[in-house]
Amino acid sequence: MGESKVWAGDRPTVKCNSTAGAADRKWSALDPASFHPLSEQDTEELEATVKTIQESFEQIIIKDSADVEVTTTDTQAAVNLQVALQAAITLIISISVADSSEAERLTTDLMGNLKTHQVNRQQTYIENSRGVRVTTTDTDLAVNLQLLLQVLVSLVARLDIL
Amino acid sequence: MANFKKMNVDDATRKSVDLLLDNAFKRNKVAFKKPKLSKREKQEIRDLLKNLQDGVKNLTKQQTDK
Repeated sequence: MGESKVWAGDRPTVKCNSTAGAADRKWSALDPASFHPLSEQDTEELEATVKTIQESFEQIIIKDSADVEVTTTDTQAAVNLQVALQAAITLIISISVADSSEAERLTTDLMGNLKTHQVNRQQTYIENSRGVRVTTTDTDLAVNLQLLLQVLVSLVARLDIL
Repeated sequence: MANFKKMNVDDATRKSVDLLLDNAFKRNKVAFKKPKLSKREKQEIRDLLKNLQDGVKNLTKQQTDK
């Protein structure tokens, strides 16, 4: 079970109908009357909590299953990398712009442009299954990292040291 | 064909980022000056960039390999 520890706001409440009887837990995608185990959550409430720039939330529930393999993105590592890239950009700007207040203003402006609103929410429910391979990816984080890297490469290229 | 397309996308991304930076410098009326760096400092920056590139590559590779 993978759960991100990257939170800037309130953690959304996700309820799972785990105490429901066996009959309730039988879910069919083709049956409109069927009750999905994760359908209890209040989506309006979730939307209200999304006020921060970046949130990542992942929930994986596995029940009565065997030989299940789950691979998820290491969000913490990705966020650490993001911070390192931002620090490197700040470093290059600060050594290339003589005035520190100008450097700070430029960095703030640049980071503001690079900010993407990211909300990654994934829920996976596996029940009565065998031989399942699940892979989840956090594309938003990967895109943001690529963008920051491109900016850093462009800045370093201007130093003529590559 | 796929490589050609990828190259075009990469070029477009590079150009866009260059323009974004030019615009940010211009808007803030900031002049980018090449600092005087020692050989060691230049190497440190190159190493830092290489490490970060590898980090991003590994993370995105993990995702695409899956």
